[in-house]
Amino acid sequence: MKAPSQPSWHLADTLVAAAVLLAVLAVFWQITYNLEYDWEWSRTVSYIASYGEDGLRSGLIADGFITMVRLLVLAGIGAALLGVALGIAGNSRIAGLRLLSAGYVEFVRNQPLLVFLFVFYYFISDRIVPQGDLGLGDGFVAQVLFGDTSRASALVSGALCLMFYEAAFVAEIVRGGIQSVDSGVVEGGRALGLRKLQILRLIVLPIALRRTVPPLVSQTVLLVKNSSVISVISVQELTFAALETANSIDTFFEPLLLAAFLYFIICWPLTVIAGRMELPAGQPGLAR
Amino acid sequence: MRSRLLSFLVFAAGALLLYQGVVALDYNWQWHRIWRYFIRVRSDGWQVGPLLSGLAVTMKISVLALLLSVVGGLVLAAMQEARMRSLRWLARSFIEAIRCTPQLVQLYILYFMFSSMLGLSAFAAGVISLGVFEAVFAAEIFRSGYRACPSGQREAARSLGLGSLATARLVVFPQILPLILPSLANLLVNLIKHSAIVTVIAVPDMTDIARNLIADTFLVLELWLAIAVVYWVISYAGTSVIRVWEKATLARISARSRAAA
Repeated sequence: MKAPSQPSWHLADTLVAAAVLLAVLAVFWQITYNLEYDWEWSRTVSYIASYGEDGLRSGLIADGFITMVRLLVLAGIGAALLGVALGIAGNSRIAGLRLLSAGYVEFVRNQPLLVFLFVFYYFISDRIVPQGDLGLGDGFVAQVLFGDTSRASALVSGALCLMFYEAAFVAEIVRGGIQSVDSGVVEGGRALGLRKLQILRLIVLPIALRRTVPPLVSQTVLLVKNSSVISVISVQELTFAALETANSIDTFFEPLLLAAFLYFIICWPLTVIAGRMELPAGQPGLAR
Repeated sequence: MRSRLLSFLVFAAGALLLYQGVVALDYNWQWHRIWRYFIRVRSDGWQVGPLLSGLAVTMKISVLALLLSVVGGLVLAAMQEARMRSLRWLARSFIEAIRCTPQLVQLYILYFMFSSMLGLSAFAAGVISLGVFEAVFAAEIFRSGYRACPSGQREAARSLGLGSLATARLVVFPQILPLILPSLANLLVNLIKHSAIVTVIAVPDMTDIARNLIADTFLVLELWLAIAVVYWVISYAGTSVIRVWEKATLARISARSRAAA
């Protein structure tokens, strides 16, 4: 029997496409005429950026977007460092370190982000990050990373929360990567007279980290999506800005759709990259 | 010997740090006050406290969303494997749109935009939002299971004259069910965790009730830590059961293939 033919465009496809188009139009019609909804795209756009007497000014949503990017950079770097450290500890020969790592990973991973956020935020905002000026200075790097450094405490608290949550997932990925390194390679290193740290640094980590790149890219997508939850502790990132905008112009469709679109254009390329990275078999040093 | 000493030192340091942290917190711990929010014992028997009824809501949302995500996942997976190109594009773009936007934003969109239009309650909006979000992952589970079935099986079914639906239902599905059940159970655990998000639209789940209780009683750390532990126990128990189940499934499959060989 002939193999199923390559799918192609048929009349039925045209019908399906027409039905989808009709459904979208029907929803739009329902919103516009039956709910008598006034689309306020122009006012929404003014919350992205507006052109006034003093030139171009960024609006709430653009500021929220930038805050989100800062949040992602800070939390991402922190989570990568802490996660790799925890991942190494998870494969350590010292049982105490293994327990510490496993305990942390299991406790955090089996927790809703929202609950983790509330527990952690209480400690962090109360104990570690003081309100007001954090003494970050106003050097160029600090301004790029933190924005208005005198009001960065909410951003830093949010970034710390996100970092400690994501680090658990990164740790699990890195631990798996290290574990997948062939023990013969490690024995080879030992036979060459390398010390433990040298074996880790020169042999195990380069192989393991290369293997962990695809799952880490997927984890980055989760980081971006999870960052929206930080809005509930009043960090003024994109979701928070979208809700503020929605409240101030008293219309919910446009700002929320805009926010969803902005998240999409960050996440989609990453998922495409992660998909491409699903590796061909048998490449040396790469996952099977 | 040395590593045991190091273990002890690491642990001692950790314990000291934790102790220092708790002391520095200068917090008036009142653990005895929280039990009544789980179970109230009275002279005429006991009564379910608000946190446990919140847990019931959490479980109800999770189970309903699981049903929705299984059905949605089946539909999406079938569409992706369909021969009609338009169906595959439709499923693909839906999946990408859901996968690449945060669940919180989806929930807000559904709740603020469509609940008035469709007359949805907050509870229904929460269930639908969670169910649709996880349906995308369920679709991936079904699809990989479908692919895991050797293509010879499908071809044999076709040559026997079965249609594609009958092939899926009678030939492919019974074989892959033991493979995908653990993944589906995993999905339920994820659903329970993700369901905490419905708190933001004021569905009275466990997290929401804890938030309200904290506003009333100021037992901030006790209540948050208590419900964190409850979530942890549920998730950890769930994942442990799944791990055992997976091992049993794999053992059964390998035993069967050994018997066949």
